[in-house]
Amino acid sequence: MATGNDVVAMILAGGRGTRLKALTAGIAKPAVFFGGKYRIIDFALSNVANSGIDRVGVLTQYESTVLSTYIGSGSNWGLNGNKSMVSVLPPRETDKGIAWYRGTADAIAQNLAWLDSLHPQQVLILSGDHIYRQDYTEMIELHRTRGADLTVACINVDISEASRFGIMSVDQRGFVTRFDEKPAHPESTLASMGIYVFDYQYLRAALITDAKDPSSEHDFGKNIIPKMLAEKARICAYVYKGYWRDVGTIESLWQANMDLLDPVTEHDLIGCMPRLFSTHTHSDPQYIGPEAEVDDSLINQGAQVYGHVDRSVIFNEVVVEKDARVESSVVMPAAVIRSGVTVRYALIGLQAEVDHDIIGEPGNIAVYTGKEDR
Amino acid sequence: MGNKIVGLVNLHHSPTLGGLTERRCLASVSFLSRYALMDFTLSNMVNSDIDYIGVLAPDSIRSLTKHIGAGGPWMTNTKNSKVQVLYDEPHAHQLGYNSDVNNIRENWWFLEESRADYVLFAPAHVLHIMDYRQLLSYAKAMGARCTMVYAKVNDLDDEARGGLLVDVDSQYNITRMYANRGDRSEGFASLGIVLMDRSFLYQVMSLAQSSSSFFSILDVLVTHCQELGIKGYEYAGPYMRRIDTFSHYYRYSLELLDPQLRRKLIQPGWPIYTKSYDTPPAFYAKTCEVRDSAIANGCIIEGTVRHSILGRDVVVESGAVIEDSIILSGSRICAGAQVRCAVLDKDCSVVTAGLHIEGTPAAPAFIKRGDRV
Repeated sequence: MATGNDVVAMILAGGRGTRLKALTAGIAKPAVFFGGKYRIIDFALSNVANSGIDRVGVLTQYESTVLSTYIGSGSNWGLNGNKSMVSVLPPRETDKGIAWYRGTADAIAQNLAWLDSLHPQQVLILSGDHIYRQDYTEMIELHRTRGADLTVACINVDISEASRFGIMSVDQRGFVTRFDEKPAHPESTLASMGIYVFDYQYLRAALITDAKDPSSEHDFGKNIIPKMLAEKARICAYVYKGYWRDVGTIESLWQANMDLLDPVTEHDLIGCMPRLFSTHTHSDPQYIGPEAEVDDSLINQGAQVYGHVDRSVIFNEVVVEKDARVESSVVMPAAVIRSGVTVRYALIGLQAEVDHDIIGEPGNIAVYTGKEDR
Repeated sequence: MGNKIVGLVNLHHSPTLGGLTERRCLASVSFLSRYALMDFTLSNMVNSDIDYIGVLAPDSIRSLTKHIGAGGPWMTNTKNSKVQVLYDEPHAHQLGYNSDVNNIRENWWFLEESRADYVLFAPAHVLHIMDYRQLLSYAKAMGARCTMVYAKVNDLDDEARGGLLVDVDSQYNITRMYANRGDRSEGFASLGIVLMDRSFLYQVMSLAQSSSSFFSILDVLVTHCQELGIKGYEYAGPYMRRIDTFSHYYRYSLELLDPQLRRKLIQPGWPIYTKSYDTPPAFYAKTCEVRDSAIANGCIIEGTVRHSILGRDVVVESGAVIEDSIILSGSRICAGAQVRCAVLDKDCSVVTAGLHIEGTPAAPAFIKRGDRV
């Protein structure tokens, strides 16, 4: 593929995901489970691999152990081949001291030496916590043919939602004329997805300048892009069409899981080819028991269902005992729903043992990890 | 002598399973929705810390190499471990000469490279759960150079037909080996699992050469049983079934829908490794009714599935009914079709509305790979 050797992908995976509450206790948000079989970062890593991009850096900070163990050699995404690699890049001690990543731009800036060593033409910057499928080839092609300094992927959102995003205005040729981070009165519905293709030399210079600016928050949306616009840089917009969600809250994480119960969304996100890659769990086959009732649900290998499952997403090694009911819920790996228990409108965490009812409601999804008392 | 074992999955004495083994070897026949039959023996070896595994293949290496690939799922260390298909190219098409003896001779480098002290032979079609390290401890304690695993069988008119029976004396010496002709009901049947030290294997190979060019390792053991000195080891594992006929395949697959029996074959702490296809979780539609069934990932189920086993990526349309059947990966059952007591090979399409495919438990129906009916 044309993109292969000239592009290096950098996945920002250091976020804490505070609004996911107990689900990010001990693990970074990109490592949170999603869709019956996956972790959120599988989307970014699979997209990269399936776009023919061979070299990937993953920038970690908050609770990076689970994430870096999960990524390993990159073999789950086929990135351990003779021309491919994944490097997990946490903050580190250098001859200048110890520095945390102060923002998205700073995370890349602190790894310029690593990028230099790979001699990329372009750098693709991604968020590790978005749910979407994209072949980046077309966006990179657009960037190259337009001779842009930066190409930003964007998506049309509803005007009522626009003030949650970085909103862009574009001219007739598709170049960005204005960028407002979370505007109170948005003048466009074109939202930045936080996916950037930079010409590397341009990015490098911009980051070095930004690093010296004491007033900067070292953030792409707040600092780098507004400054580029002010300096009349060539910023191209690439309009993405399809399913895309930032699952930053309990509600949005639950909703995105429920969206998979629509066969079209299921196909586009996880059922289609090329595959969405993930880890191998060495599970048994999933088993649906003699008295079980399963409707409108996704169930992964290793799950054993003896009770009632309706409109739910069930991960590997989950046990739903006889006379247990799971409705409109997401049950993460190896959780056990005991007999007689009802789980409704809930997210159940890894290995949680549920021996009492967990009942939420739309707009107030219950979260249970079984670790609340510790 | 050290304790290093090289594992050889011996497919040279594999039975056939009718249409299922027409275009593939028995070892790669799909089993229990997400496994191939060979996965169980391979996983026993991996779980017994055997890191050099050869698969002695007489033929049908297409399906074998497709499943094993570079051996990844069964390798502990990707540098120090090896899972390798061993194939005797010069004799592959010479009936009679295509024996395990010639195969090992052709692939002698594998034994040399493994630097193993012991060679363990095990078949793919005898499903068993066994820590082979215990077999080695037994062999060492008994001072045995060759140890053969056997099990007591009560219905020899149905089980292990054509297989090897053994007589064992009070000192656990195997005194005689002979074929099961079904003329008696009880006896000790060999599981085809044999552990020997390497010098013993040399001896067997040279005895084979001096006896007949058609001889297999087993032929040598049978012929020279007494003089070689072979110890017996009675199998005491939680589960053992021979998948040696099509009806056994059908019966022993579906009986594993019983969770308690399945727990004997697939135990916590004794994982069964297999190739992954990165298929998404199975999707159960609002219209589906699924009971007492094992389902692999990638399935889309809108219809009714009872007491059945579905492989990867099987589609059951709304209104279709599957009962007491085994559907292999990639098959599609269209609306209105009914499948009872049947085995559908991979990538079949049942497209005729109202079609009933119906066998009996004793004689299940079979639809060939890729057929549209």
